[in-house]
This record gives sequence, C-alpha cells and structure tokens, in this order.
Amino acid sequence: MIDKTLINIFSKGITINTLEIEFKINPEHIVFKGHFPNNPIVPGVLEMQIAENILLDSLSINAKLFSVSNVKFSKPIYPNNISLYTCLINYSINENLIDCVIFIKDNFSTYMSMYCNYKIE
Amino acid sequence: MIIEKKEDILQYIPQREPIIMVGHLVEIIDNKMLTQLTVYKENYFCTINNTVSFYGVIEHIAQSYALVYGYLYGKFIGMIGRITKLRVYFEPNIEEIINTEITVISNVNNLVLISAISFQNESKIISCEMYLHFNR
Repeated sequence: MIDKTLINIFSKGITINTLEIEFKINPEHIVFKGHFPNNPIVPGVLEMQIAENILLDSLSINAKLFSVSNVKFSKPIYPNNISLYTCLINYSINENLIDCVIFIKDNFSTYMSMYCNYKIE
Repeated sequence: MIIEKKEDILQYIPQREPIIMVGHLVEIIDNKMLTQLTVYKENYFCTINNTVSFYGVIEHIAQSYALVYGYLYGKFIGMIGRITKLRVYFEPNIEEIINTEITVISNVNNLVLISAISFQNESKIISCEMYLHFNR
C-alpha cells in the first residue's frame, strides 16, 4: 500500500512489463525529523520501500521483497528540493517471483538503481 | 554490553526519532560486532501485522554499523552506498529482540564494506553485504 503521507503520485505510464510512475515526496513527512535533524535526507530504505509500494500498487499484487542482487544509491534525495521524480520499473513475472530492474530518477540524475525480486503471496 | 541506554546511543548516531533503529551495542571483537533492537508499535517500520518491515531491518543493519563507527571514530552522518547479496527470510515480530551480527570486510577512506546477518529467536531474518560511506 502506498504511504500517501510520504509520496503523491502524479502520473502513471503502464505498458507491458514496464511501469513509469511520476511522484513527489512530502518534505513534511515525520521521518525527515529524525533523518537527519536540520539536514533532511530520504533514507535509502525508503527509496526501496517507495519502489515496492509503486510496483505492488500498480500491479494490484500482494508480494514481499525476496532478494536484492544489487541496489546502488548514486545520489542522496533531499526532500526539501521539491522535484518530480520518476520510478521506472521493468519487470517480468516468473511463477511466484516478480523479477525487477528499478530506477528512481529525475530529469538530471539517477538516484537509485536496483536489481531485485519479490515473492508473490 | 558496551552501549545499553538510549541516551548513550544518541551520542554516537545522528538519527533521531522516529527513525532510531538500533537499541544496544553488545560487543565488538576484532572486526565482528553484535547489536540488538526491539521494535515497538509506535515505530515507523511496524507493519499492520505487528511485524517489522524488511526495510526497517535493513535500516537497523545500517544504523548498527553507524553506532559502531560513532563509538570508534566519532559521530558522523553515514549513508548506504550499495547493498548486495540481500536475501530476506521472514518479517520479525515487534516486541521481540532482533540480534544482528556484523563483520567488517574492509574500511578504506571512510568507505566501509560490511556483511550482516539479523536473527530473531535464532532464525535468520535478513543477510546482506552493505557499503556505507561516512562524511568525515
């Protein structure tokens, strides 16, 4: 389920095996009070959680993270920089696993790239 | 037990509530260390099933080493640069201890590579390797 207190979805592009979802991050979210005080930065694990939420919400599937072969956080996301981010997901469903390559980016940078899969429940 | 109280934890990590995800630093022996965390219902990573989300456990692993780093070198903001070989097994229960064993594989120029395994009741929760960068 998407945490609507954390992100707002602005547009959805859904084609076969590809999702392209635009979203904004709420800089007032409670997590940023602690990560970090007076220096808010989106925790990498929240970027991973946002990607999972977007995938499962878009596919209307119940699944949980199973494995991550590689996730790279290239640049920190500062929530006070109000920007429109894109979560780009290429996926394939193989039996009970959803194999994914996921990027979080904007027009200028890629912030997260992740190779992972989720187990359908 | 090296660091037991929350007010002491705060001396060594920059995170603050509601996202403090390490409870105790139990021991450091050479390049291996053991930490603990018990999550309660008000925690951001508590799920509707009264479990801790995998993302909360991954954050716990990162903050566990941040606590060790702060204890050894002083408090600095650390960021996860990369995670590899991550495998998740089950979502742990809240109000039960999560134990995390960390091994430092390398520590060069404030870039630290660790391997970590978290357990609850001796059952594996998550294992991974993680690169952390500290802004010294």
